Amino acid sequence: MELDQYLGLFIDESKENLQKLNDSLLALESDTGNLEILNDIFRVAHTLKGMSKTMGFNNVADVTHHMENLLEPLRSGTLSADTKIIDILFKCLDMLDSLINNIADGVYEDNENKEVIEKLVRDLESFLNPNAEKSDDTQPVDEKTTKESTPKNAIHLEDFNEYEIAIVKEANSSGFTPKELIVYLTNDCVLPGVRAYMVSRAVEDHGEIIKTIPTVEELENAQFEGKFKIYLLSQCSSDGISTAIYQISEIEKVEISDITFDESASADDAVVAEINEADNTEVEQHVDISSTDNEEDLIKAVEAKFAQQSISQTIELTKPELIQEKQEQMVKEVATSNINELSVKEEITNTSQNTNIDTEEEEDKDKNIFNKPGSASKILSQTVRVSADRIDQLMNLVGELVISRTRINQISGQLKDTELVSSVGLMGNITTDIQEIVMKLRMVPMEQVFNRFPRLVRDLAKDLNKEVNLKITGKDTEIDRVVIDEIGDPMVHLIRNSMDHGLENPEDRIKNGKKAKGTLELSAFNEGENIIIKVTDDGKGIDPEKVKESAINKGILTREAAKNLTQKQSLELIFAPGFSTATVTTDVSGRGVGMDVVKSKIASLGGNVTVNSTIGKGTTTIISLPSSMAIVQALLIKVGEEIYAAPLNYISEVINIEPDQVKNIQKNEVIVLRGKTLPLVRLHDLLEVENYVEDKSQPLTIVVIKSQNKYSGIIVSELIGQQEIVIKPINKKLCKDDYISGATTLGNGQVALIINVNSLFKKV
Amino acid sequence: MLDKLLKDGQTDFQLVVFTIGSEEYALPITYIQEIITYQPLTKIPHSSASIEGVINLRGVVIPIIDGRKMVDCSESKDRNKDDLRIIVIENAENRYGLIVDNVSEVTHMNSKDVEQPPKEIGENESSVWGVGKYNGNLIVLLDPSKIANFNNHNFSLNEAKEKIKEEVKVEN
Repeated sequence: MELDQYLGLFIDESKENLQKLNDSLLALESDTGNLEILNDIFRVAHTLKGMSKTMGFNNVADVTHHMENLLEPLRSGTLSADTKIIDILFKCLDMLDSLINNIADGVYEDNENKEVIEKLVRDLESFLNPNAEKSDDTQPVDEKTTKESTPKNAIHLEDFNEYEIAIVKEANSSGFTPKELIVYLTNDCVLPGVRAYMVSRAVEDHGEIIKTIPTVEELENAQFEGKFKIYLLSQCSSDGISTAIYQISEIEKVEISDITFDESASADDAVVAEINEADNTEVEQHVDISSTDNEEDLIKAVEAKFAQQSISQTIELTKPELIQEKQEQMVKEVATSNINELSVKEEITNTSQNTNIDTEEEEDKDKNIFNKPGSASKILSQTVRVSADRIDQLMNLVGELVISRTRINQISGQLKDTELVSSVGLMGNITTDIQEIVMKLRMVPMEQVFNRFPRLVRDLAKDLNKEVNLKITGKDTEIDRVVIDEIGDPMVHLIRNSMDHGLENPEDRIKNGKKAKGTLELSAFNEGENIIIKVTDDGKGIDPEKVKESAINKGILTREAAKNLTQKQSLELIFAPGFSTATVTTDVSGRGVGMDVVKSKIASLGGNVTVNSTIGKGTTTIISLPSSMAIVQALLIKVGEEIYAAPLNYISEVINIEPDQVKNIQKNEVIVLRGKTLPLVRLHDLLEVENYVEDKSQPLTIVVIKSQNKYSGIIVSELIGQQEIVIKPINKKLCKDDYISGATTLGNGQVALIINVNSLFKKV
Repeated sequence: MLDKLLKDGQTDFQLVVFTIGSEEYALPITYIQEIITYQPLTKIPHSSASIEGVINLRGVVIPIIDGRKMVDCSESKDRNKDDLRIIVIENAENRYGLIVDNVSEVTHMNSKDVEQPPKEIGENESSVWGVGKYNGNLIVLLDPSKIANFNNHNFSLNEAKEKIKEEVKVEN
């Protein structure tokens, strides 16, 4: 089969499975005896093994195979999951992760890792005590495989044409056993067609397929639901075949039975056997397809024997009718066969009631399974994987559309044609809807970032000998894809800081009257237009005095300057470049690059980060980010002849003041606004705008900007208005200072630069 | 640049010939995305001197370099902006525009008609990759990947040009 076609699916699925494995292992660690979790792990390992074998990635298959070997005694209880075992399972996970990543990068046969894998495998084997020497090819007994049964099963003759029957007969005499395979796919199977194809490929290795129900074409087009049947001529054991099929993922179960084709000879026996079986059915009351099939067979057999009718004629009858009719016949005929009429009748009536119920259900099911082409795609079409590039392109074009709409709006406003205005209005609404949808396409849940952290926290806790309880809330909070890619590293920094500097050792915690187990809480939620991400620990907190002291020692500020700082300002010092309070630099943190990198990263995403801390109680770091990165509301302002855009969420108000209200304090211009001094920035100076003429007699237009709790006023020439703008990246090399964060296009096609409002505060 | 082309076995180049001031220059056509008429630029504060500004090219913001500033063209006669052209150049790293006075033609040139720039200029710093003989004139061949080095345009292109011309004359 063409592997490339399924490679993407394989990688996506594997990654999902690895994530599942990760979660389960973490769960197992806290609850080592939990059989359910062990089963989960086993299932994931098994699925991975099956998938990778089919795809020919033997490394992955090898590792998972040995994982299974280790998991088997864990499940059966002969081995208990201690930390060593969990560690090695984590190692396996890491190895699998890197192997899958390599496969994603196009390295299919990873020879570099070969030795590591071999070592891993040896380690895995060392856990299995000598008496558990399983030879490598014995498959761990899966509960699924034990369900298999091999009763001689009468076949539905009507399903076969003469030619096929002839083949079977011939095969019978030449030592091949005809087998019926009923393969059930899991309910959530993504590509039933592919799985069916994979199954038939696997089965072909064991014999010759004579027939499938539905047909091969229908199978490959996924025109079936849940299950399909394969008739096979084989010399192999049913065990071998079922093992091969279980290698394929998303297989719920396989029923394999040998079949016979004798129409006449053993029909008597069959009737008796089937009647017995019918009794059983009644007693067990179970709704099983095979047993209902047997009911059917029973009727067929009876019919063949007594009614001497052609089976193919009766198949047109609906089943309840058929059963009713046959039942009556059977009762009659059986009665003549010297069996106690009453009891049999009673029994059969009971059976028939059951059967009727069963059959109705089964009939529905049968219909679903075989007669509903295309229904499988209903389940499939819920999500579509689209490359991120295309979404970006779409985004870009929608951006242009929004801009054109603005332009057409302006024109139609000037023309004052009512019809034009109304149709443009309608178009405007549609554009807005499209824009909203496209914006949502870019949004992904925070889960993608948060999912990395349980493992990180676990490993850190181990390294640092700390006990920690990780709480994660707000996984569903949606955030721009760009942010997701960028936010991971800063968060890792914050978590490391909390784990290393924040949370104390268990002994110290108990001394301070806290629980030995510290708490680390990650949360994400929406707040207006922003997304807030919090990292909270209940550790020892940050001492502002120590921060000051450390900052002075590192030459970040002078002792005099330090005296004037508030507690809050002192805490802010940890964001200064080159700052680190840890007296000892550990592996984890303390190299003094942490927080300022976090700060600049967040700032580059248009957000900001603050820290709150109470000594002895803990620290909270709060990251605030704009929820959407691509389209923002902005205020267009004119400075000289140039047009700039300032994101609206940074603007608190616009005021006009007379020039004589501007005061100078230490060479800085300020105004007094409602009793507070507001520092001023002359944007034309800062941005070196040419041909700027200031009319001293006119009032100054001041845009008051805010960031966190700081306010500042920027003096502009003119306001143009509020508009949605699409942020477009510009070459960073173009602007040496970070006054400009991007560019946008205006309705007339001109480019307006977007002011990086955060950078203006540095100048104040 | 020339070496690379020769290594690829290419002996015949297709060039776009344009004028800046009174001199003729050329760029390999494979690097040219399109040629557009002049558009009003948006200036970028604190950018390097050779960057004139940015324009919106169908939704993509691209930087624009003024050809006259790049080649130290001293002719100061006023240009009618409507007659100017912007050549949109695309190489591996960047897409940018070059303002030129006029685009004259597309032509072929054989590698034997191209002289390498003199060593003194040092090919790494220079945006000239050769001088081509064409219709009895000399055309300065520009290297698109070097023009786009937005940081330094300090070298004197005129100087280099004169040197090349002298050498070419000597050889002839």
